[in-house]
Amino acid sequence: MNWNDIRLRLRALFQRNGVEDELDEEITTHLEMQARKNQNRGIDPTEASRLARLQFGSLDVAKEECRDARGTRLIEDALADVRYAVRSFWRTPVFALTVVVTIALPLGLNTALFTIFNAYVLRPVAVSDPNSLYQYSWTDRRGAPHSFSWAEYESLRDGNPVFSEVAATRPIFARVEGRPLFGELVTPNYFRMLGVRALSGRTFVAEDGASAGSAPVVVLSHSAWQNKFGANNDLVGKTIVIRGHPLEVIGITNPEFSGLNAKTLDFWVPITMADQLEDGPSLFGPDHPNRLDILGRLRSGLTSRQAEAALLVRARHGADGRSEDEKAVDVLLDSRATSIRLTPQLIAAAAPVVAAFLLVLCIACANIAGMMFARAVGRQREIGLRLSLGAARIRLVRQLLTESLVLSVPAAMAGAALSELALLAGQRVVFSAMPPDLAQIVTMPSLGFDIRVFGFLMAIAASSATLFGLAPALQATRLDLSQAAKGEFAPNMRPTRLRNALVILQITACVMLLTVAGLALRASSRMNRQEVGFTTSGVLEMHINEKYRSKLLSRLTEQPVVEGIASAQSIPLNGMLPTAPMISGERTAARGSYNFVSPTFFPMLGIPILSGRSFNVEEARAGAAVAIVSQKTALRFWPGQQPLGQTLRLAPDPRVAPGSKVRSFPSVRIIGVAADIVSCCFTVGMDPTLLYLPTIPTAAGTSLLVGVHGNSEQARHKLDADLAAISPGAVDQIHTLDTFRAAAVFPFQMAAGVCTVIGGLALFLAVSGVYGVLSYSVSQRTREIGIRMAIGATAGAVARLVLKQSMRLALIGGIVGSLLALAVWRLLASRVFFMEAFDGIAFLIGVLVPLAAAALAAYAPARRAILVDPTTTLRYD
Amino acid sequence: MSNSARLDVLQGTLDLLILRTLQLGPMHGWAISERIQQASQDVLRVNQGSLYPALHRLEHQGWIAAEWGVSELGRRARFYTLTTAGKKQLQRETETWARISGAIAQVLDMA
Repeated sequence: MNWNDIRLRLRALFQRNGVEDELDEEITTHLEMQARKNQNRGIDPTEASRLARLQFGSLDVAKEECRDARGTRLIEDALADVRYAVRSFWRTPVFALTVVVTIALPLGLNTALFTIFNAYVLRPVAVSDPNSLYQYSWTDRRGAPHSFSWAEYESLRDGNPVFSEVAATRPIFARVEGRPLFGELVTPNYFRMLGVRALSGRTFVAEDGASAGSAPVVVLSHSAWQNKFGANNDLVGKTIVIRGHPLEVIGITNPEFSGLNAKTLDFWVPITMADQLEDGPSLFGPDHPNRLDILGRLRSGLTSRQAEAALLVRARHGADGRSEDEKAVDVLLDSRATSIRLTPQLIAAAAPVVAAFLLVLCIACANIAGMMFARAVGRQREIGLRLSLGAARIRLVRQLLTESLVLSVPAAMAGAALSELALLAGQRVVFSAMPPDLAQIVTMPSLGFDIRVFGFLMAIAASSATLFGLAPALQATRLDLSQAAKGEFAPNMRPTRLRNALVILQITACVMLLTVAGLALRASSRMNRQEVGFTTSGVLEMHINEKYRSKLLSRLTEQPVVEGIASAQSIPLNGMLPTAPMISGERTAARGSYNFVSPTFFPMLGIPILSGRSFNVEEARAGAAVAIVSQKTALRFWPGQQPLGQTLRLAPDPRVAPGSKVRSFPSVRIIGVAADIVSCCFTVGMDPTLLYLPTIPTAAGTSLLVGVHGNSEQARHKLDADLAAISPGAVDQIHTLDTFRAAAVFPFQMAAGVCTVIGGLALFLAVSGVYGVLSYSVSQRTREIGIRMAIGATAGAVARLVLKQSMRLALIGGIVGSLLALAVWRLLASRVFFMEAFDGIAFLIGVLVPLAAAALAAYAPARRAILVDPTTTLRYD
Repeated sequence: MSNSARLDVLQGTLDLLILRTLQLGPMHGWAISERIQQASQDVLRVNQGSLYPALHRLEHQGWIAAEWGVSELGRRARFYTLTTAGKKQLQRETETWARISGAIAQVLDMA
């Protein structure tokens, strides 16, 4: 194909009429010349023209061949098909609208899901050359990722073969004016290395991080400026207090950048401020604490594989002082090009959700396939005629497929709008359903419609159009020509079997989705009511900056609203507790969870001491070698024996818990047995093992539990304000325990909500599918029904005929669907404790709702069947 | 002249004949067919129905170019001209034809 050819083809396409006129004129001229030649031979004019025509042969064949020579045939045909489809849909707007809406709903949902996926996993972070950014770490034999000391960072910075530049970062959390802010301590080259500019003010320069303790400055993200500081234009130059330290706001980043991770960041502070803002040993001191994350820009030309090899050599070389166990065995280079990496684990976790969404789309496609099929059946006469006249089957299939594709265009547009709407409404619903404290922390990335989302939408719209268009097109054009010519088509059509299969599939999916929704919903309501083993009302949880701990503790007890103070290393319902191997006597050994709690922990949370006693103040202060076990733990180690007075040896893995407080408790004497509680999370349920060791509220690293009078939310606000007046920025975190429980329940409520929405959509689609199948079948069987009525069938019998058909489909779908739901439930039960019990009601609802809906969908077709007038029908034909 | 003495131009050779004819100068479709007939002393007859598709095909291939002009009768007509690429193509096809016809003649001559 040369340029000349392309030019001519384009002309043929876009100036089709002009090209056609020219062809006509050229041939007319030819005929005139030929006629003139004939005339010159003495033939009379009329005969001369006729002869010229004859000599030329078929004009139309010649013209067709000329058109073929243009090479635009395929496109011209496609355009003609499109015009034809648009015209015919214009005449049947209800049909077209139904198809568009049916496909747009699931299309919109899938696009919304993809938009979220895109924002986290596919869209590169807004920095220069994101693909060369990697987070570097290594693991030793234990498998734990290594964090770096300041000295290690300096050595990497001053010379390494792999990265052209490195930055060190460290996450930091602060409350500013009561609002939680997430930030990072970063080396001053951070912004320059990423190529991130300031929207106003400036980012860091080298002087900001010149020496330890230098530059009390902070850069805010655009999102923090907008959402947490009211987009105040005078903010740059002002001072904000972060963890008790006044820092000058020097700049606000551009809106596209809010950190490299999935979590939107609010602020950045030079890492040289670490000692002022953080507890624990000095980052730059002789302890060399390993706290830093390393971000590097890979030198150009290096693959990450080569870089890993080079870094492993370097990491092992620089580890002379370490034991063999602590040396690097594996290097991790984690791409930072997108905020979440696409890993096999992520795919495995996302697969069920994607499957459910795609299932709904498939249901919609199945419905439309049915509708398209019914339409094709209505056009059998036209199709038969065209086939008899010699139209190629492939040409007709192409035409029918074009009709599907034509419908997919408005469906895709409506889908895009629906997706935007679903995301907006979804975010609003989610944030309003969320416990308010959680809503302050959770952030969403911008969910923009970009080229990837557009591509996804187009691809999925086109493939679903093919899906719902191809099968009907193939079946409708498979005709026996001898019968088609006579106008008889029915014997060769087998539409009902396919449509029945589709409807069964729909009900199956619907039953499964609704049952799972019911399971999740009822499990989450059980979590609300279930005895977690302790009370959450009237208790606040507080994290205090260690520097202010003793000062605030003494002031706290003076507050009239405070009833009592306890402390614990791990707050209940706040995730996994630390574990250690526990050994009793010679035989029984098990890995068990442990927690450090103060003496008043048990009465404050209402956890009964079943036998023995709680710690006394002296034991707590001295860290005496005594412990309290939960009932299950007592049964596990000393079944049928008196647990009180027994000795339990703790053997924490020195490499797992270096410097941990638990190491000062090599063996403990059991002084009490407490009732079991759900301490970790709802997925685990009641703790299998739990050992309480003594501590006191003044001990570093423990969270405070504050019992309060009256409304705990009001008490929280009052305490927060009072303490902020004493030491601004000292309270890192203050929540009610009710919030902790609500936050732990929330994911389950979310899952139930999502399942209900897509299950409901599936139900809607299944109902429309059943209705479509029955309507079609009633209209096909009109004559049969007429005959039945003529020979004495009652209206009830006819209605039963229709209903029976619907119920047969619904029952098969119901059985298969509940079997699938059973399998999903077994899977969930193995992961989530609160779903372990078989929930008959959820299953019953999951099956009955679709069955009832199927029966209802049969109502209108059954009515139409009853109203069949035998005399009219039998006169038909 | 009897019909049996006339031969329809073969599909593949029509392109060659058109190109060769256009070497004489720009011509419109009818003139091309007349010219071929004359030159072959009425032995070869161009099927007029396949003449125009062939012309359009050659135009797409860039071997000939078309332009509207005025015919000897004073009517608008489409004149075809041989392009540079067309001249090369003509040379190639002429050589191929000479080889084939030579080869066929040899086969026929074989005693």
